[in-house]
Amino acid sequence: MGYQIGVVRLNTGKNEHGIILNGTYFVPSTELAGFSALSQLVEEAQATVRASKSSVTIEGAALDSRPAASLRRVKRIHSLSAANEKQAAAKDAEVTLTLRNEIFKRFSAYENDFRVTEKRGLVPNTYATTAEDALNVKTGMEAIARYALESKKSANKVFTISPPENTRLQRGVVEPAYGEPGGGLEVIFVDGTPDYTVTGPEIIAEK
Amino acid sequence: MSAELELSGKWRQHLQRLPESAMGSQHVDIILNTGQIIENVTVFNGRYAQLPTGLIEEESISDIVIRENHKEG
Repeated sequence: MGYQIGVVRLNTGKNEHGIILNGTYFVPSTELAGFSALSQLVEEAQATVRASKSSVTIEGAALDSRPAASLRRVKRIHSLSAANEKQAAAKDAEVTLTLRNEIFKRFSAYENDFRVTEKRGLVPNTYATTAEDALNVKTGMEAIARYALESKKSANKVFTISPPENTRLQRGVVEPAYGEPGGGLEVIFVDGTPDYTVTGPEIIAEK
Repeated sequence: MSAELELSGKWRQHLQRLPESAMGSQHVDIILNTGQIIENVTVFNGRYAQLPTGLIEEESISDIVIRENHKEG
């Protein structure tokens, strides 16, 4: 049973937000709290229709637009495939969207990192990594190795980036380069990030 | 003999608008007023240009353009 979320226009003239089950049954958001499982919701909706309990019909619907990358189920599939595939560098990857509350890190040799704006955003086409991947790095020299940084000046300044949901970015794996192994995850913020989304830097050990 | 040239604010602002080639670095071509092009110069933090040959004066720079993103292994 599939479902869609959106606003429907009823024959009563009212618009209501809710769930459309299998393109057939509509359940208003206000009635969702009484159900603990989707199967229970489906059974109730089908029973209501069979008993012709409702004279309300739907005249139109406008579905909520949800990018594929923001759907939990799609994300799981992506994670699974990522573990089994050799991934390309971020610059060669498709543009995807950030999830809600997703955090990123940027390692830099400079406290006044040039990609961070005065208003604490990122300019377009800026590299970073995920907060999860950054947990693998304890020192600035480890950052040079994992992210194959060309500069050998310790990248021990760590900026935290908290972009809004649905920020455009490319994701990939750092290729070996400049005598470094790479292997970390890298992202490119295609359009940068808005003001006040960057904090830090936190200073970690140089080596 | 390689040398590092620290770029002034004008070029730093210019480089900030250009894409990164990797975290913290950009690969650029530097075009001089004479028409000469210094190819594949790495710039760190949008500021420190790693010139492959001897030092040039910043005043002799006409433009800085990004190279196609690629890393050298």
